[in-house]
This record gives sequence, C-alpha cells and structure tokens, in this order.
Amino acid sequence: MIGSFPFRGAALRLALLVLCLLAPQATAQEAPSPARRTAPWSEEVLRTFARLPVQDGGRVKPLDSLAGLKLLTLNGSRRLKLESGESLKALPWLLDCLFFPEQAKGYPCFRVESDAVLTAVGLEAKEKRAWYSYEELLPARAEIHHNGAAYSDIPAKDRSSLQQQTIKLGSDLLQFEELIGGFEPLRQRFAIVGWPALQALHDGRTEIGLAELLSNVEGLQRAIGELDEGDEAAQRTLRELSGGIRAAFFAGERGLAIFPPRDGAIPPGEWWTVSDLARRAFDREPGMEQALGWFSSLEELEDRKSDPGGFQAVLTPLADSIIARATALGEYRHIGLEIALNRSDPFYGALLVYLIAFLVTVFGWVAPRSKLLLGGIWGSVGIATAMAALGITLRCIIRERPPVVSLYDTVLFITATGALFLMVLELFTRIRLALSLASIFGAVGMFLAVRYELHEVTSSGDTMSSVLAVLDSNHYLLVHVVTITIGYMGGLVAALAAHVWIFGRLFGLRRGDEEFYRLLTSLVFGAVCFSLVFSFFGTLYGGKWGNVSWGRFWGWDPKENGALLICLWEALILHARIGGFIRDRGLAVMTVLGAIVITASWWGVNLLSVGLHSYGFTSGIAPYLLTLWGFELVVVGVCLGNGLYERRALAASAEAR
Amino acid sequence: MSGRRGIALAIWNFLGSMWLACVLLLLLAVLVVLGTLYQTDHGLYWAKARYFGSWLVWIDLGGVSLPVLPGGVTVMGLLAINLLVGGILRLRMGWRVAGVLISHLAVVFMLLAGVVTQYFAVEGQVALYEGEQADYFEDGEHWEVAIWEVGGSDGTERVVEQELFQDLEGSAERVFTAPSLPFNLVFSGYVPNARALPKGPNWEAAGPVVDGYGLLAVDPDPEPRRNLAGLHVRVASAGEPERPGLLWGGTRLPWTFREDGRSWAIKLRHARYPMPFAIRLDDFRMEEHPGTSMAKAYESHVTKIEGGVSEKVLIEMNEPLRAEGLALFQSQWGRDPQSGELYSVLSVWRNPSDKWPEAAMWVMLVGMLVAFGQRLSRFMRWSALVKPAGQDRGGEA
Repeated sequence: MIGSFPFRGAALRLALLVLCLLAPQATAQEAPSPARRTAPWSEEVLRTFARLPVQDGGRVKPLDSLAGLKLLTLNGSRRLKLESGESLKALPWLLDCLFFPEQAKGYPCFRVESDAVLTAVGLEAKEKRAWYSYEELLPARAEIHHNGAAYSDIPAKDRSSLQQQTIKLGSDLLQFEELIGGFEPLRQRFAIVGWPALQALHDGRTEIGLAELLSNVEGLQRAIGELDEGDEAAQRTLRELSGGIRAAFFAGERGLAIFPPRDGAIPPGEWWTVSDLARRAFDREPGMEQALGWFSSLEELEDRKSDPGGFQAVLTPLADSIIARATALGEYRHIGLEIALNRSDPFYGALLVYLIAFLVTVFGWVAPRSKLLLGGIWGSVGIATAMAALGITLRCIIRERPPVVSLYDTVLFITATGALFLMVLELFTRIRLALSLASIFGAVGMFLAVRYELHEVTSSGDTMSSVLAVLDSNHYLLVHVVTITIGYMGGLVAALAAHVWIFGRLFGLRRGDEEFYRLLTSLVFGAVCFSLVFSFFGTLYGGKWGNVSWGRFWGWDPKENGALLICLWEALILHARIGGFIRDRGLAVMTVLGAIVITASWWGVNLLSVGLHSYGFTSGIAPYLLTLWGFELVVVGVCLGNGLYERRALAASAEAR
Repeated sequence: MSGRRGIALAIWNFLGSMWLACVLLLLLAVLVVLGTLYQTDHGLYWAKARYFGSWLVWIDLGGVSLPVLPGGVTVMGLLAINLLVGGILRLRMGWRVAGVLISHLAVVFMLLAGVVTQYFAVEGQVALYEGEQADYFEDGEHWEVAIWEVGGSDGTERVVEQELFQDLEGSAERVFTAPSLPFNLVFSGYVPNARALPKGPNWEAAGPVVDGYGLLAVDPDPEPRRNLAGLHVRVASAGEPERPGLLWGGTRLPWTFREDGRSWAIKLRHARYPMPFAIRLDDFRMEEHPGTSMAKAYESHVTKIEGGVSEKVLIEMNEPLRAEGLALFQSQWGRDPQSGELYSVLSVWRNPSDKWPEAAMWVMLVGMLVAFGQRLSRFMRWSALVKPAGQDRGGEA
C-alpha cells in the first residue's frame, strides 16, 4: 500500500500513513461534467493539440503522431469508422478518450481478427473479423487478461494465432484504459466539508479539485499536523481525501507523459504524466511552479471541455508554455517536421503514384512507340520514387539516424532504391523493361510497407522507435545496414527480372527476339553481381561491427548466417555462370531461388527468435513467407518444365526437318 | 606424361576446378542452413560443434552414427585450397583477372583468420562490482580446480585443468600429487552439469553423498556457459583416513579442510587466464530510454593498472578497450539480488587474428570493385555495339 501512497513528503507521509490504511479505496467524486461531446472538435483545437509534444516509447513526438499510432494499433487504421457510418480521425478520437472517456468507451475501436478469440472468452462475436467497443469487451475483460497472461508464458514462436491475438487484445484493452484514465485525476472533486481547517485554506469551499489541493500542500500539511484526533468528522474527511487521491493517481498512473520535466528532476529526461506531476507536487519538489500552472490549466480545460471558446482560450497559452519548455530542453526540434510527415503521408502517396505508373506502363505496352506514354512512365515513377525518398529523408532527420534502423525501414528503403536502380538500368538498356519493372517493384514494395507498418506499430508501438544500446552507432547503421539492405534490393531486382525472363519465355513475349532475352539475361546477371558486391561488403562490415560490440568478427548467429547465405548463393550463381554450368534459363532459376534466400535472410531468420540480433525478431509473417517461397518454387518448376518442353519441341522440329 | 604425373595433374585440375568451387559453395550453403536451424533447439555451441567446426556431419541411424555431409572445417578447408589452386595459381595473370585474384586472395586470408581464431583465440569474461579489480579473466566454458593454503605466506595456487579430470565420469578416479602439497587429491565422479542439493529420497546422487549433500546430474545446457560442473574429491595423506569432499561450480565458497596443522582451500571454478594488466571498475552506468525499460547505454568507467601506471578508460557498447593483445568489451550487467549493487560484465578476447578479417574485407572490396567494374565496362561496350546510345528500342517487339 505504501508504494501507491500519493504523498511522499516526510511529515505528511507519516501523518497520513495510518489513516490511509483505513481509507476507503475511492471516495472522491467525479466532477459533474458532460459524458458526451456535443460538437465536433474545432480545427483550431485540433491544430493546437496536434503540435503538443508527448514522450512515448523513449522519444518525444507530437500528439498527432501518438494519436495515429495508438488508433492504428487498436483499430488497424488511422481512421475510426463509427457504427453510425461516420468516421473519426485519430486526433479527435484521442481527445475523446482523454476528455470524454464515457463516449470513447462506446467507439468500436478494437479490431478483433478472429471471432474465435471472443468465443473463447464467452463473448458473442459479430463476424469472423469485426470491430468492438470497450463496452462490448468489458464483460470478458478479466477472462481476456487471464488467458493472455497464460499465453504469454509460451515462447512467441510456438504461440498459435488465437493465443497471439488474445495477448494483443489484452494489451489493446490496457492501452485504451491508460488513455481514458490519463486525465482521471483532473476530473476528481474531493469533499472537505467536515474539516473546517482545510475549508479555511480554500475559501470555505466544501469541494475542491486536485489543482487547488496542490496549490497549498504546505497548508494541507499544517492542517494534518494540527488535526485533533478526537475530531471524528475531520478524520473521516482526511481518510476519504487520502483514498480518493490514491484512486485518482492510480487511474492516471500510466497516462500520457505530456509534461516536460523541470531542471534537475530525477530520473533525468523522463516526462511526467498528470499523476507524476501531482505526486511530485505533493512531495514538494522545488521548481514546480510552472508545472503546477500546467496542471491547473489542464484541470480548467477539463472543466471547459463543453465550452469551445473557453476551451481554446485556456488551451493556447497552456500549449505554448509546454512547447516553450520542450524547446528549451531541445526536444521540440523535429515536431513540426513530424507533423508535416504525418500530414503529407508520402509513402501512401508514393503507392498511389506507383500504381498510376503501372497503369501507364500497361498502356505503354499497347502503344510502345508513344513518346507521351514513355514520358508518363518516367514522370510517374520518378515522382513516386522522389516521394518515397522524401519520406525516408524526413524520417532520417526526425530520428537523427541513417535511413535503415528497423524492418519497416528496410521495406521503404528497398522499394525506393530498387525503383531508382531500375531507372538507372533503364538508362543503360532503354528497352522500357527496367522502367516497367520499376513501377511494379515500387507498387508492390510500397503496398508491403503500408501493410507492414501496422505490424511494426502493433509490435513496437512506433515506426521510429528508440534504438537499443548495441545499435546506437550511426556509423555502423549507415555503412553496414544500408549496404546490406542495398544487397537485398539488388538480389530482389534480379529476381524480378528473372521472373520476366521465365514468364516471357512461357507466354511467348517478344518471341524470336533473342537480343531482348540476351539483354534481359545481362540485366539479371548484372543485378546479381551488384547485389553480391553490396551483400559481401555489408556482411563483412557487420562482422567488423560484431567485432567491436560482441568481441568477435563472426559468430554463426542466424542473422549473420542469413547474410552469408546470400553471399554464398550469389557467388554460386556467378561461378556457375562463368564456369558454363548454367545458361540463361539456369541463371533465371537460380536467381528466383535467390529471392527465397534473400527473403529468408531478410525476414525468415528473424522468426527463429535465437541469436544476438534479438532487436530484429518478429513474428506473424511466417504464412506470407511460406506462401512466397511456395510460389517461387512453382515458378522454378514451371521454368524447368517449360525448358524441357522447348527442348523437346526443338528436337522434334529438327527431326521433322 | 607419366601415369603418376598424369594423376597429379588430374588432382591439381580437380582441386582448382570451377566445378569443385560450385559444389563447395553449395555444400557450405547447405551447412549454413542446417546449422542455423539446428541452433534454434540445440544452441549455438552445439550447432558450431556439429556443422561449422566439424570435419564431418554425423547422423544417428538406429544407434549407428553415419557421416552424411562434410563438416564446415572440411568444406572451408577445401574451399581455401580450391581458391588457391583455381582462383589464384591457375589463373592466367593479367589485368583482366586482377580483381578476381585480389578477391580470392582476400577470401583465403579471411578463411585463414577463421582458422587462427578457431584454434588460438581465447574468450572469457570478467565480472566486477564497483571498486573491484581483477588481473585475470574467466573462460565460461571450461573449469579448473584450484588449491591454495588459506592465509599462506606465498599465496601460490596449484591448478588442475579440466582436461585432466573431465573424463572421470562414474567410478573412474585419478590421483593428483604435488611436491608442495602435504597430501594427495583423488578426483572422481565428474558431472558436466549438476546441482548440489541435500540428498533426498526422490533422486539418485551422482557419486557418494558428502555431509548429506549429493550431486544431482542434469542435462547439459545447450549453452555451455550455463552449465555448473560438479566433482568429487578425496584428500589422502599418510596415516590419515581419506576425507571426502564435494566441489560444485555453482558456489562462490571453496571447500576447506585442515592438514598438517594448516588450513587448505579447494575450489572448482571457471578456468582463469592472466591479463598483463589489472582492471578496476570505478563506475558503472546503465541508462534507459526515458519512460521505457529499453537500454540506451551501458558504460563501464574503469582504470587500467599496469606497472604502477593507472589510466582511466571508458568501455561502452561499440567502444571496447584494446590493449596488449586483449580486447575488453561491454557485455552484460547485473544486480546483486541481496544488496541491489550493480556489476558489470566485460567480455575479454585474446585473438591473434583480431584485425585480419577487417583487412581482408577492404582488400576484397577493392578486388570486387575492380572485377565487376571491368565486367560493367565490357557490358557497356557490348551494349553500345548492340544499339546506338540513347536509342529507344521500345517499339522493336
């Protein structure tokens, strides 16, 4: 009980300790405030909240980002579809969670992938996949947490989909409760009617809020010290006050860390939640004046939430003050840039433009001599790639990191550099093939990026998470990770071109145009050589990194082995080709198999969950990976079968002649 | 050409053939796949022993062990020979093959570095609380028995290395004597991974029970560092009955006894290697990203003491201390469960080929750039011949 006791000031603590043990759990009353929002949040309010900084996941980000990430985690999308058919963006949804929790509890913001998850805990499911509100899930809350805790003991790689989803649903419920409870302390009103000394401190009022209590902690302390043991009414008020504060603190314990710390606060650099701030004020930490002003303003915001004009009047100076403090701490540098990144959504834009580029490419196949269409393909692929590059650059600046830090980054980077690489290849070959492939590569890559973003946010809460100590080296992140990722990209571009070779031969594309196929083969081989150089250097540079962080150049760790496997396979292709053991078809087959090797190294080894590269472990993608590998094996089978057929046909034709 | 010379030439050609290179690359890829999958259940140590550091890969078929694949040592050894013969010696020297030659030389050098690491490198750890210092590091995978006189004037330790008692499983025993010791030691009943527990009715002790305690043998851990070895010992001296003792790697305290009016201590501990300098941990800091439990930084502020000269050094992630052939890395940290005091664990490596792979890496990069640069240049010339530069062939279907 002592651990959750709200007062830490020595005298106050001693005086309240015994009383607290006897105190009822929650006797404070929620302030009489409307439970539902009556009008939409104004644009000005939304703009102001969007730029408000908040510390989450080890970094300071705009509330705009946090709202999007939270809703994406729970809902699977940054836009919430209400049962009325209306849709709600992330920030208004978050503000409803904070200021109108009763209303937010009715929003169907929990995406449940499988009805079996709910059936298992005794709830009636709507459909196979459906969205539920907190109110709907509440009856099975305990059961969900109980099952989730049991499933958490199972190693991640051994969990079934049902178990994984149950754990996620439990985690989602907790996250939602943290949001709706975050401002709970601001809503509490404490009755002090039986304690005249305390009433005297607060202008004779019978009920006060936490901000007023915090404004005169010294007086409260004095009043407790002077409390007559025989004054039963005052003693009861004190007990109720103590219990109420404790309950309020508990509710807001894991809310949003929206208050920048004062100078010299411990632990350094850690921002405060509403409860943290109040607790520090009760402890009478020095230098809390500004923070108490924020607390008071926030409480006033809560009071005025149904008065748009008054709300904005309080909000603007509060936001300005918090932003000024964050700026002084040097933690507001990239907030504007991050909001711009959120607003522009360059990756989604790039996906759309790549799809347009693909459509133009298809038209280009129908009218191959059209200069206009050619210009259209160049333009659209160029614009899409520039958008992706812009997004990647903004992420680099915001994080102050090289472009590739997480698995999500690898998808973005491979897509953008792959499209760029194919554009350069087009300049060499000028047969529109590489350019066509660039639109396909870009569209598929960006589609995967958009899809994987959800996975990354669900598993780590952010796509720009803080890095572990071992990864904290921009030099190695830049040289090793970027290089090896370019190696992946080269191999995948080669594999894509090899698919064109295989299906081109199968379906008679440019039948008889051997020069086209020779050029295509050169493109495949060139991309394999390109990939080999980067993969080899990237792998070895990773060894150099391993030598300074773990003490050995090579340790046969799964991620190292995956990288080595790419090098070995591509070296094998190279030697088999130069040695004359494989021709064009063999090259295409081995390059397609190389795609399996690359995806195994890129994604597959992360599923094994062993080794020192634990920061890259992932789960839930095995079915997609196995599907891809199965498809590639079918492609290889088709290619070999077609080769056999062509050879027989050739022999038959020669015989007939 | 004589028959013998013909055979030698055939072998020479075979060893340097491109065909062999392809087979070896494929075999190595297969070993890498198998070894990677194997370590998910059996740990890295056994994966290395079975696939990467072995001459042959064996499988057990109905109790019969059969070799099914050449092991990593065999494949990589043959690959080095193949590279030397085919990729270097048999190459027709000239500018056209300069890049290939350089790349192949770099790979051979890298494989050589691997051999040196495999057979000559020593790895260990030193764990220090703030204020503690050590001039040795411990090998977490090997054990030794140390004997010393408690309060003895010379402080000399006698050490028995693991190789001398690791075969003493079951009832086998071996006597150890030393002129400076007034007793003999009889070792027996070595258990690679054990728990020393009060003997109960529900389990069989491995070896005799001593003072109510026995060794419970448990399956060796896939990660050998987590094993806690056990060993039985008897002190034998003329005219005295033998005194049995139990040594266990999981306890920090030695077993002590009196002999010849003096007190002696004997302890089973991880093998120790001396360092040419001492390291004192002055301060250890562990920082987390604010509001999370994710490590942001580990820092060991140490003093390196050598020949009366002290030097302050900071060891942190990605910033090791390299001195006198040793490299000390920030590895782990922990907290004493009783006192809550933090300690820092530094990994220590002594590897004669420490920097060789890095040198090979740069050489290889140069070689590959030259080789592929030449190839690209040839392709561009060919491409220019095939079509006039800048011509769009889009309509030539």
